[in-house]
Amino acid sequence: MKRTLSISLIWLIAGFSLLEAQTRYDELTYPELNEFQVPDIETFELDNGIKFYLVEDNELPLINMNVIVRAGSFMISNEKVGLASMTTQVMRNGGTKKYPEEELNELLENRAARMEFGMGLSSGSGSMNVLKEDFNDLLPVFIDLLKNPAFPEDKIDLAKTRTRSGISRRNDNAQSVASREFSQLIYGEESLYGRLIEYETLSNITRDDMIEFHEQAFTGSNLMIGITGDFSAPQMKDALQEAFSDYPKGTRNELDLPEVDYEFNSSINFIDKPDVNQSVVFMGHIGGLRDNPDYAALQAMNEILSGGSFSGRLMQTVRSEMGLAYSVFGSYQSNVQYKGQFYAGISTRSSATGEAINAVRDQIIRLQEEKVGEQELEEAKERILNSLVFRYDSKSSVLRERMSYEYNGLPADAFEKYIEQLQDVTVDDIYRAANEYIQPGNMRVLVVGNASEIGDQLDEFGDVNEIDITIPRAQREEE
Amino acid sequence: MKQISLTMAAFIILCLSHTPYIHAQDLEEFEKNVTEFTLDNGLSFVILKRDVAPVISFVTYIDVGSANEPVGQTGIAHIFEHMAFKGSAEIGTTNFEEEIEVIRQMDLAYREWLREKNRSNPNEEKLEEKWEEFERIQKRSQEYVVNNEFTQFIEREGASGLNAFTSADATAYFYSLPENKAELWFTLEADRFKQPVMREFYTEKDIIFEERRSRTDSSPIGRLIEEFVSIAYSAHPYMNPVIGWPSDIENTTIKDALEFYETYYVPSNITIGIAGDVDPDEMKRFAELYFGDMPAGDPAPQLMVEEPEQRGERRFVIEESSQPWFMMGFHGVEENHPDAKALDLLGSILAQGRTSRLYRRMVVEEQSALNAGAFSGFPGSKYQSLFLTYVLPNQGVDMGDVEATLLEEIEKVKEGDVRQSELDRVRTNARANLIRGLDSNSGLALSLAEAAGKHDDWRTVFTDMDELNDVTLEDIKRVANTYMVKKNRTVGMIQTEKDEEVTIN
Repeated sequence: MKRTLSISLIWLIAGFSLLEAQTRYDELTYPELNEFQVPDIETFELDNGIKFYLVEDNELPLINMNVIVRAGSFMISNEKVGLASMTTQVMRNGGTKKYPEEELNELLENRAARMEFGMGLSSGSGSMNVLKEDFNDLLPVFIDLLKNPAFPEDKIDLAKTRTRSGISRRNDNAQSVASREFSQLIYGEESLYGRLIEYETLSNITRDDMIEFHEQAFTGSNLMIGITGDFSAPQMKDALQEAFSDYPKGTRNELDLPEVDYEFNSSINFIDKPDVNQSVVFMGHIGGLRDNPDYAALQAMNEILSGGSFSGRLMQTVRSEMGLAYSVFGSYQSNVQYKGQFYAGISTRSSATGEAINAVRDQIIRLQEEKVGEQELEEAKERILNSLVFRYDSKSSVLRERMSYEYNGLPADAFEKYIEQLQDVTVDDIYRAANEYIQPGNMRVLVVGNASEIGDQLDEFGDVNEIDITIPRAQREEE
Repeated sequence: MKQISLTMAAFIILCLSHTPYIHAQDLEEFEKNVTEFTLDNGLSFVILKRDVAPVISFVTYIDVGSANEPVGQTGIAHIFEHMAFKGSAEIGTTNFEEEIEVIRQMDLAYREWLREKNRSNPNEEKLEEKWEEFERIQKRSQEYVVNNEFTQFIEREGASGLNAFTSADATAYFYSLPENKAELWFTLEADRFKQPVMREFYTEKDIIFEERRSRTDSSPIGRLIEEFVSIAYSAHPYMNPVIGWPSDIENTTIKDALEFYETYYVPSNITIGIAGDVDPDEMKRFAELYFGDMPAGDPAPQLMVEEPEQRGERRFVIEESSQPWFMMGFHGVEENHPDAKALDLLGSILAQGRTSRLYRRMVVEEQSALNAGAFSGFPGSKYQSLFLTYVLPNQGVDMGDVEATLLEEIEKVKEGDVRQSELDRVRTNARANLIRGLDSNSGLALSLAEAAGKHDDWRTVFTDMDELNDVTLEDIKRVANTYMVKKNRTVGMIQTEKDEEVTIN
């Protein structure tokens, strides 16, 4: 705060009321930015493999614990899709022998405490958010939920009923239909990365399956636990060592996700939804991996195509100039564990569907046909570099990033490296990357919209393949 | 640039009205870091010093929402909100003086076209002629536009979270900057609200129509909510969708938007909330320097419409292909009414969390619902609002049973079935929710600006909780009996069309 002090002092000396003029936005000069004090993260590991990350933050009387679980639905076979997320649902909603569901909910909500679990494709999560005075009382409850879920049959049935209800509702919203079906188009219906929970896979799931998956996933060697909040680190360390000392070790899961099997080709696909007056369009093909020397160039390309809230080419052209959309987007995804997607899309009135597809496609082609402007690239870099200060806007954000990098096996300085490389990216790099990684002539296009309003607009893009999304799905390939 | 959909607005208001109290010493501690002042022209500032990280969040809160819109101009608050991202006389133009004249001509041409179109017997040829004339001038106006220069400049300087929302009650604009660039926010924000420019107005309306298609026309829940409020209210403008009725959006002109601005964007109707790594003295100096010369203007007119008493139950069914939804709403109170807090707590007792009455019975025990909700303050909370309940039934559940169960649960509350432990629990959660909300600059800047703008005191963020503490079990029973009666309710639902019926039709 030295800076502001000295400024006030100057003002005091200069006399406050001396004339002072308004400065135009482009004539401002800025003082130096205050520094963020990156907090120390205390880490330690127990014999059972659990790794802890602690950061004190006494701003509010709260303690938050976040667990990353080294597991995922990638471990589940195609016959039992849904098992992973059902397991974490019932861990919470079924309670334990010691804390059965109804008592558990009263215990937690009487103290405004939250405990939740979840399981995604390649990582799981657990969280406990409590007022600090409740931490010691509730930590054993959280550990009991992690370790000893009861999986009562009636709560499994309840979870199945709700999941079935969710399946029956999955075609109501056009945007979620489009993003879900586009993933299937890219990765394949039976692929780990595209498959869906169906009534049939749900009915294949048993209590024993849940017990088995829980045992594989929630063991010590698969847990990373981060704690932030109002506590003293040495005391917290002791408390955690004690509380987790007899937690089972188990075996560490390997995150070896299968490679995506993809062949480039182009297609135009359509899903009829008679109750909408707007088409949701997705187009694209397979994307790439984070571990790629062109990562920074591709990120810069993304920023130019669709960066910022209003700054990218798609927003400027297709939204602001042409007025074709409220929502337009596009990005080449570079995932850590498996190949992402290259996708772009738009929601537009039925009558403009064809025009909108062409408008978005033109912006993709433009990246390959001409080099981006020097000034344009400079501005894209500035947007990223000047907003770096928001990377850490709290102590917990430092902890989150650290844990996520370690989980994904990224080097601790991966972000710094990326920023260094980004600064060196040239318009030629982007031109080369756009031509190497993007194939505008080989995109799969999906339109979810109203057939009677759209008419024959899709015919110019080829033979339209109509996708049936009736629930349950019509005859799928047998395994 | 978002128009908060009614559901979203309802949930946000839910959060705010449940944000809540902290003990007296917490408020004192907090107060030490707050600076508030009002400029001579009436513009108020609430500034929170919170130097967790070298960033600052800014919120400009205008005490005008869709409820304040003139008849025939629904959606205009939201249209103006979009226009506030188009720059000013200083930014976004190659030649402002020429541009402003072309924009004026463009609006004249559009109004000419509208006049012809809305005649009882429009002449097709003339109509086309006038439209071509409009398009010709519109094209000319585009020559002066520096595309998105305002937003691009801000983002280049590292802004985060640049956006805005319009609700039934208010309009708010926000973004965050590195702490050393506070002056940039002051110069650009003052600029856009001192001399707004209706640049690209008619293209932007096309974008707003797309927004309407996404949020309402093509969304089952969007359609249900729009229908619901328009039936529940008969006089109060809460009946209108925030995004506006399609013909109103089409008929709104630049002239209308500027009149709306002149009327409601006066300094006494604006509150600015700032939270982050700030020097309050410096903020005050910038405030005077950049906003001090904004003309005071006349106070914004008040909305005086009162919703008349409902004479009987209102009910409708939308039959369509999507899955069922059930909604039941009762006319309640505005948020400053003595019964408001009891209704808030009743909403939580019915449907907040896994111990709530509707969750226990409908989701867990009878498994009739995927989800159920209940809350007060819909579609806004500044004026007399609805207490809304809703249910997403599970597959194959009869709507009649859903309704009967909901009514039974309400009846139990009326008979005094609620226990002290339930009331204590929802209060504890309200307090914790408030504390949890104190960890974000942008959330804090908005809460403080809203409390100061709507209730004339930012402290109500905290003192509201004292009022929650005064609510008794007797109050809960009384408000249920007062408001949750048949002739005061609206029932609306989506029922799934059977395939057979479609074939027969």
